[in-house]
Amino acid sequence: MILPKSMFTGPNPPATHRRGLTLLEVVVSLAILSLMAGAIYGIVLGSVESTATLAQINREDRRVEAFLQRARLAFAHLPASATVELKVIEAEPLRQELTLRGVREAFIWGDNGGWDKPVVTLASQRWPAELQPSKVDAASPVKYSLAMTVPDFYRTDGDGQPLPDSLVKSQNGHQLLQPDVQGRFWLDLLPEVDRVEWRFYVPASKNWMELQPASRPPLIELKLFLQGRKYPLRAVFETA
Amino acid sequence: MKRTLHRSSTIQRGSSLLLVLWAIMLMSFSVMGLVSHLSNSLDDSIREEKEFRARLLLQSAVVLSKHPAIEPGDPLLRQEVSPVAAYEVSISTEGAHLAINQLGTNPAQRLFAKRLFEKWGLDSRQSQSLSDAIADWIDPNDRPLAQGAEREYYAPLGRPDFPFNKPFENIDDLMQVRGFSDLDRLRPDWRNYFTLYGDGTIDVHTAPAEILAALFDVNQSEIGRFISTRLGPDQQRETIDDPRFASLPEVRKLLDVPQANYLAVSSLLTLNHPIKRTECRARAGNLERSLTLITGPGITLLRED
Repeated sequence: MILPKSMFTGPNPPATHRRGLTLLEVVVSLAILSLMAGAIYGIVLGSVESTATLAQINREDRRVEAFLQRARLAFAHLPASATVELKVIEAEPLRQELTLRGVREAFIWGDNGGWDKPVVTLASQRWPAELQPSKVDAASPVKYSLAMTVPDFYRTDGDGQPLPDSLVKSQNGHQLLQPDVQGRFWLDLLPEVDRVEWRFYVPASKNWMELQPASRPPLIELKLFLQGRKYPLRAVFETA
Repeated sequence: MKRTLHRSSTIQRGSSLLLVLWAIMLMSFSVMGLVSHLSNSLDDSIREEKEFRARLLLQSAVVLSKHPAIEPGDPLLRQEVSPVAAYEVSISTEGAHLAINQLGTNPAQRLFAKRLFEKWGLDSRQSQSLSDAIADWIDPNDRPLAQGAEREYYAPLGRPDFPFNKPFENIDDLMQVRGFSDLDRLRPDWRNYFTLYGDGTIDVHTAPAEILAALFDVNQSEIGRFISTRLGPDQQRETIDDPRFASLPEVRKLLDVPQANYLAVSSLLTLNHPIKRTECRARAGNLERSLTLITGPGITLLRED
């Protein structure tokens, strides 16, 4: 069968040529789609990461606020016989222990009316070695948590020395709290901090001091350097 | 037959392009929606973080301002905690303001108010009229003062419940008083000069120059020496070098005002006003929060702005 010539030539281009153009359109469209998808992926990924980071910061803030509220209450209701002690345990990086003696209700939770042995100590504690990041981060070389310890957390021997098991256990009987070198068991209050600085206000010199004053300080300052935050959080507490 | 095939292939080619365009449009809309949602979440989180920091700063500022060991002017009351966070505490007294609720009972207060209104630009008649109208709003009776306004003025205006015949509980109620809108036009910041809580006395340590000039009926230049002395060597307000005057005669010596003017209002002067006003302002990034504490005998008020 001989086809007429007009089927291949004439005012309309051949059908095969048109199909090529359609393919080109699709290729161009796919290229545009790919470019768009790439750009959008970058934008969305960035936004999702930023939102997740900020959500994490907000969660941390809630924890910090709860901790500060407890600290505010503890300092504001110090009985006359209670003492506040500040001890530097490491100079660089600075690590301090703040101890409240004689405050049964300080940082208490649950149904307990108060601690049986009311000696509450707050300090930054190094994370256990197995939990430290394998890759050292220049901004936070070692990870710390702000933790508390009370003698109620552990058993002691006849000489008052801590025994190597904690009273706070999980339902399965696992030990929840970890002891330090002195055998004191610590409970994490704020799990990720870089540094915790306590200072006492001395009215006579109008200065904040990092050392133990002769009498109970009227004001206590706390600076919390949280991980990943550029600036510390600062809170001032009034003592009773 | 050929024509039908050709049309069908054209429609198919058009359809594929349209489909791609639709796909791009749909993708764009869904991505725009997602990005907008994420952006809103981000803004909310950032704001929440700033609110938290500002709240912490305000709490610290309040603790410091209330503590007796911290005196007014102490540098601790004005601190930049970091480049993006700062707080400032201003401690004053209600004696720095015109105690508006005292106008109902005290003619000396009415005279003081009249002078202040004159200094703000009302003429003598308008000032007297406004001062009397405010007094009539507060006093419990329905007898108008010489140029006052009682129920017979407000009732024809459709407000038979005016005046309230009791002290103001909200400073903005002053706007309902006859003639007050004229003052509002001249001095939109009038709220900074009035108080609901003062006992009527004027604190010479905290009252601004404008209030003192109206009180003594003089120009501000005539109390310039007193103001300069009050600012201390650094000439800055609320700093540690600001002197405290021991007695009113000591204040009198620094006031270059006629004796008659001084004696006319000397009963309104005080060195220690009983009602303290503490204004705490905190800044976290571009977010600012403030809190005002008014404390004194029988009054503890906290207002968050």
